[in-house]
Amino acid sequence: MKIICSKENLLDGINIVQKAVSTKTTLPILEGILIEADERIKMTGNDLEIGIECYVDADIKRPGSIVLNSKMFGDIVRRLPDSEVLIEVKENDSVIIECENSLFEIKGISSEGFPSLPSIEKEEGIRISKKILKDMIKQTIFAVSIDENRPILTGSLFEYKSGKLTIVSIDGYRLAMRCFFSENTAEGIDRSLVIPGKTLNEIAKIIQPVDEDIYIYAAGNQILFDMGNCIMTSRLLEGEYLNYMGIIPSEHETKITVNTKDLLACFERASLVITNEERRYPVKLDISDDLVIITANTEAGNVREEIRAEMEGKKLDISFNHRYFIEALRVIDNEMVDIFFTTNIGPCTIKPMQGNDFAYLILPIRK
Amino acid sequence: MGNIIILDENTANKIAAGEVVERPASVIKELVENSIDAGANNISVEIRNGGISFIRITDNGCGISEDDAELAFERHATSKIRRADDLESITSMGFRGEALASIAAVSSVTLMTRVKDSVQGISVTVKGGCITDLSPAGCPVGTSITVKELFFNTPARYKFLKKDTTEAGYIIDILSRIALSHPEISFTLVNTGSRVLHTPGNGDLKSTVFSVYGAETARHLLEVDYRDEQFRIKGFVGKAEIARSNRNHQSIYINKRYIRNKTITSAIDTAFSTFIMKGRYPFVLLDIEVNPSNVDVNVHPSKMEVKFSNDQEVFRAVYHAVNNALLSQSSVRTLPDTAKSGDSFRFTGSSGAHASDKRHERKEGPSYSQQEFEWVRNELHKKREAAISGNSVNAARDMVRNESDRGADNVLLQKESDADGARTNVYSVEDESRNDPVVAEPSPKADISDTENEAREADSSAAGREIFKNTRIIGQAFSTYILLEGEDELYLLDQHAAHERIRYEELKKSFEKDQPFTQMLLSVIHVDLTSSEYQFALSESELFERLGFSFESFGTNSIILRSAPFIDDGADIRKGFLDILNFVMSGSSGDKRAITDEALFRMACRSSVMAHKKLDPREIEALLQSLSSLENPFTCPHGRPAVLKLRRYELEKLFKRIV
Repeated sequence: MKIICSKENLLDGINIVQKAVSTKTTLPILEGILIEADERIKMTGNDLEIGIECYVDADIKRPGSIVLNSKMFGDIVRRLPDSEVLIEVKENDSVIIECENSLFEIKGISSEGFPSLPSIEKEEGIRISKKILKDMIKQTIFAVSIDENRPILTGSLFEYKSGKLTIVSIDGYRLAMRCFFSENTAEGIDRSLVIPGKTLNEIAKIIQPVDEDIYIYAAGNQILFDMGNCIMTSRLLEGEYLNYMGIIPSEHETKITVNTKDLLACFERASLVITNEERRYPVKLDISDDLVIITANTEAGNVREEIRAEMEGKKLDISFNHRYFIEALRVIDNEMVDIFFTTNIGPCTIKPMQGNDFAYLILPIRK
Repeated sequence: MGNIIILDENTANKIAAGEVVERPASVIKELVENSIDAGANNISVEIRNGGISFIRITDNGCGISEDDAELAFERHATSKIRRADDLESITSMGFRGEALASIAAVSSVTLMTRVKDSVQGISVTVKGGCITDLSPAGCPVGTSITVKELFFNTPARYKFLKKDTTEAGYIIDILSRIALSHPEISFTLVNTGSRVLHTPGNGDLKSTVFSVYGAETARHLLEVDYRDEQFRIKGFVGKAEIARSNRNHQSIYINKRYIRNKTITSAIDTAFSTFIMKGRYPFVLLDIEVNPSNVDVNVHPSKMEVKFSNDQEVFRAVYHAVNNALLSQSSVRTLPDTAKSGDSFRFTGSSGAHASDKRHERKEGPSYSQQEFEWVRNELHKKREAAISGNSVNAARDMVRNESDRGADNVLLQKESDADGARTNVYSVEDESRNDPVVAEPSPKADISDTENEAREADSSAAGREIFKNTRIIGQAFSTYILLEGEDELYLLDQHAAHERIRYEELKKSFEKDQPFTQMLLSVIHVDLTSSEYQFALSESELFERLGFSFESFGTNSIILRSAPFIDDGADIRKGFLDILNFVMSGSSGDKRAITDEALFRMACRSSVMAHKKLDPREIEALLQSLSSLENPFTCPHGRPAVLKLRRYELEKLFKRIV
């Protein structure tokens, strides 16, 4: 194999596929990037959970393939001058990397043992804009559980039903739900998948917030994201996801309508007296007469915030983990939101004033 | 014809012997207990071949009259009880009337005995249960029993005997334990001609400990002296220095009877939990005096097991007895004694000096330990006096407080073992409050915990400030240890361990003030339990509710959690719940509130700080200040020592200023 490629293109590819290269493994070949040269070069990283393939344009002098240690190869290319890079495989899998005045000769591994990505038929896919998918993931990923005792909750539910894509994350204390009506509806394919949180994190990093489309295919327990010059596959989580519709309460005792950014600012200020000590304290909401009083009383100090809100229903005193509110409010783009409360030990739900594009459900803290 | 027959007496005795006489050590236990019951104050035991071929026990007790001597070998023949009712109030060691008959059934026994009023004694020889010789004999007052050829007629049992040295080990162990429960009796054990155990019998428990375990152990004892209306607990617990990796150095006696009991050991473990490292077991020597009617020793012929009428009370009493001993007295570790560290210094000398050093060492060895021993004793005595006089002030204040605020029941619980000795007036108050059902379950309201904290602060100062008050800060070594100069003592403080202890106590206080908040769960957590865990969890659901875990039964042996304590976002709730459940269950009979609180701090207390940090003198001072207000500033919460002390005396010995 002998190729010449610009450093920039090469590095872009490496940065993407490196996300799927495992760092701790008993199989040395999995610590490598597979490079295959045909008309373009195709780089592959695969840790057997997630796999990424990325195509990079290059001048192919002689086709072939090799596996290079991801860390070393990446570090070398990153530090090369911005110029053309020559990569050539010599005898015994030794690899020459040459760029301007630099010359490396490093050990490669024969590509034979590299595990291939699972093959997924590109049929009946879901098409969605990259920008929208990235936003949707960002708006739900924080509520993915890290508790390995309930593996199904360490992923997000991807539900596609008659043109509506819904992503739901639940971590035991709260729920984040976001949905999107796609006008370019595909033909009546309904799907319900649970994608590992790690996969979603990586895909959100890889995709650019542009108005291009991404295609999502699933087969068996695998999912495939097709981003044009780049594909990513991942194992899916198996099992029944919680019935999220059943969790979101349909009735409420108290409702407030409030400015999102103002409320977020109140919570952020209130959280300042809640230091990161062992003893934990909640933030208290005192809702009455179109006024929400937000207080936090800790050993370190007290804070009191007032915010105007339109209010319906009963007065209410309720406490929360500030972090859950802040994380939800931060990702809401709407200027105003409605917040529905049931009782002071029942869930509260943050929703948009119109429609139901999103819902954030948070369980309170009781004394 | 029926197949069922009544076994003859001899066979019955052999069967009974199987339960009572397991090995030579059990023979000695039974016979020595007889000697004790006979009122002897000098008991000597002689063994050969690990007691298999020869055991002789000689006492100066009351002896057996000529008429009774023969009868003594009959089964169920006893002078210690007269009727079944007497079992309710046993004060003697034996009572079943089985021992001598059982031993005689499986060996050859010669009994020589004389009572005081008789001119001549009698000698009875019994082999395999049959009397072979009965004749008058001249002998001193008391009884001497010789047991030969143990298990000569039960080859199966004989085969299972261990090596002679092992059997001798068992004998030394059991006799030591008996000796420790009877400091007023002098015990001597001679093994194949050499004396292996000799206790003074002067009534001083500490000298008995000294003669059994040696100077090192005797030096590191804390006295336990506790009394409430049901129990009187006396004895010693060892500091962490002499802790072992097994429980062999734990001896527990109920009314002077050596027993094993899970409730008591778990109470000891709980009390020691933050003073000692995991996997180490403290030296413990406790005699629990309890009304014989509240305890049943007639569980097994060997009488090693007992049943209490109220396990929970026993746990509480033992816990407080040990805990108070630990808190009331300084448990600062001393550096290893100079005799040992001297070894390493000796290599620097020339070979001639070496030899003379050795001579010195040998000469001074025992006298030094004796001296040390005296010193410790005086010191302890002084400290105890100080503690008592200090506490009486507290006790008086408690009384006043108790009248105004009867709810502060557990302040008193905490106090009651301090409040021992002559202050019976305190008990009367305490009795009232205990009989009052309203205060039986103290509610965790602020006013009460405040008084509790105050009381605790006052209490803690006794132990803490004593050490840190009169010290001068020398400086810091290796950015890790703080050096302090005290009166004739040099203290080394591990700042990491000390800080950890401070944080732990702070957290504990903040949780005592009010319980954690409870985070409601969005999706319930399903936990499978064993059936005993399940039963326990349901019966103690209120306790868990208070900690923040509310749950419901979810079918057989499983529950669903609806809320969890608001402690840590990423915490594994199921694991946290199981940890706490198991922790509470392990001390199931104890002071439940204390235990659940403890469980909670453990869950919340994350690892602390401040290793390898350069400290300004002002920072050191602040650290000492907070340390001096702690209940136990001497160990970190995981039981590692936080403070070491090096006595001036030891330093001077190291420098050979004194020899």
